[in-house]
Amino acid sequence: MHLQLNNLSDRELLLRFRKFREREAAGALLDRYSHLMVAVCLPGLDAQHPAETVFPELTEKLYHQLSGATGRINGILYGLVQQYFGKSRVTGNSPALRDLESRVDMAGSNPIEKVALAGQLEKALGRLIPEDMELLQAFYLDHKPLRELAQSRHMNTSQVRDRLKGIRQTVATYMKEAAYE
Amino acid sequence: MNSHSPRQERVLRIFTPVRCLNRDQLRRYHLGQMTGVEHHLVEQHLVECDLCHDALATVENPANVESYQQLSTQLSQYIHREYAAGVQPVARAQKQPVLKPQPHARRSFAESAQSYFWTVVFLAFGGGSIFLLQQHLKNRPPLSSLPLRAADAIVLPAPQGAALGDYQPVTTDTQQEVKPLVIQTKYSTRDTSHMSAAALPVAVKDTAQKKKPVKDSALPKPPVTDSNARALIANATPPPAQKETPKEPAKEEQKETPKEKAPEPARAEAEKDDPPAAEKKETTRPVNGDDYVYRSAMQYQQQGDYNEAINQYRKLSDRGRYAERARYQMAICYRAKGQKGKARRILKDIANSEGSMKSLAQAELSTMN
Repeated sequence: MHLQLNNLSDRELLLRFRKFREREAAGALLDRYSHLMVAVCLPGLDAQHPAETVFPELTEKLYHQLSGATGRINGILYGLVQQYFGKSRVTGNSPALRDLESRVDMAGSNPIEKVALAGQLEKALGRLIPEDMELLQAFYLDHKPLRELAQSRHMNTSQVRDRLKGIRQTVATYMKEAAYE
Repeated sequence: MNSHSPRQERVLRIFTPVRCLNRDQLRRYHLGQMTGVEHHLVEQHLVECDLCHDALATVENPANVESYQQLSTQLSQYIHREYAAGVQPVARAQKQPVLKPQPHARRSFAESAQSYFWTVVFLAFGGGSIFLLQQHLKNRPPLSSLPLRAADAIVLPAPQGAALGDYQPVTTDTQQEVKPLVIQTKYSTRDTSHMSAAALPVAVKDTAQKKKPVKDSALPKPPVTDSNARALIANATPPPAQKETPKEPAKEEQKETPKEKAPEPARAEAEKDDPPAAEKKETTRPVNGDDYVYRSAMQYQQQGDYNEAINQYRKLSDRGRYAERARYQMAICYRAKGQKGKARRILKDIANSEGSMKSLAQAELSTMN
């Protein structure tokens, strides 16, 4: 049963947990993100936050948040860990970016919708400044690695990542503005 | 995914979500063991996922690798243990002792109430069935008992050639001691004090059997069914068959002839002479089918249900040793119903025949005329 659940996507596991209260489905989800939880929490473990109490508490909190979760688990878990260790609250993806990702996901099997959405995206990308457009094209369209992009721009990979993340947010905002026009 | 796919597809993939890194991907990315396409997919996900980015940053620190692997394995085992199917969480398990008794108590109460209900229903059905059985036994028509009593009072005439013992009326000690039972029909005018003779046949028979066999001439005895018939018993002439009976067979029949067939005066005298002997031999004969039908018919006749009595007599009118007596009683019933034509016709048939009831039929005919 556990192997079968591991083959399901996060959305299907969440649906089973919400509708049928399958504790095993929630367990599969928790197990799927357990290594990431350990890796994220590892720098925060100390005498006040021992692993024997941190991980069961976080697991229990995440389990209770899964019943009402609609978004992505990684965002929920990251926010939970940051809140647990008293770090600055990290805002997740903006609504505009979530809507755009949802539209792209729904248009996956509809060629007409895909063509229309691709046209709108081209228009939004055309509104970007040339530096951002060049970086976006190099990473997403030309598939250049982050390390190479960072070296070419004399930045570290985290800076390139943050820049790319901001560009995505900007494009999503442009798409939302285009929908209201 | 490759760089040769159409631009449209690649533009859409900018905003296509990618799943988080699993354990193997995290390790291989750290070790640089990924293909180009897979490496780009992971980096594309790292751009949008803070969790995986921070996790990868932790894993890239060599000081954290060992503790990461150990804690990751332990947490995975913990989750497998705690969140397996059918395992309740710790927080819920602590509350269960408080919450458990209520549903259990409700379930036990429901089960006990159901068992009580079915027990009450079972008892009600059992009691009701017992009550109905008692009522049925109480109100059952006493055909099996009353005809025996009626036979005590009625001395049946023995047809010729029939075993004399078959016509012995069944009597019991209590019946003899308490009061002789007499059939009271609605047209009976006779005083019950005179009817005591009807209860004597057994005593008379027994004493007479001991002392002297009764001759065959004393065998035929008219049935005492009503007052008219009883009144005719004393004056009744012996049937022709009695005169025709030879004396030699009489010796054989003396052994079989019951003393109850003796005339009433003789029986009265015998009772006076030897009353203890009358109580010595009392036999209870088994009732066969014709006896039962005849007695039930007599019972119906006594109760005034002449139609049913006629039906019962009709069953016997064409067969068996009760045929002639049944037809005679059927004529009596018709007369009581007012159908004197039918009664007269049947009595004529009996009077014209050479049976034992000939004299009684003639007497009835003369009475009706």
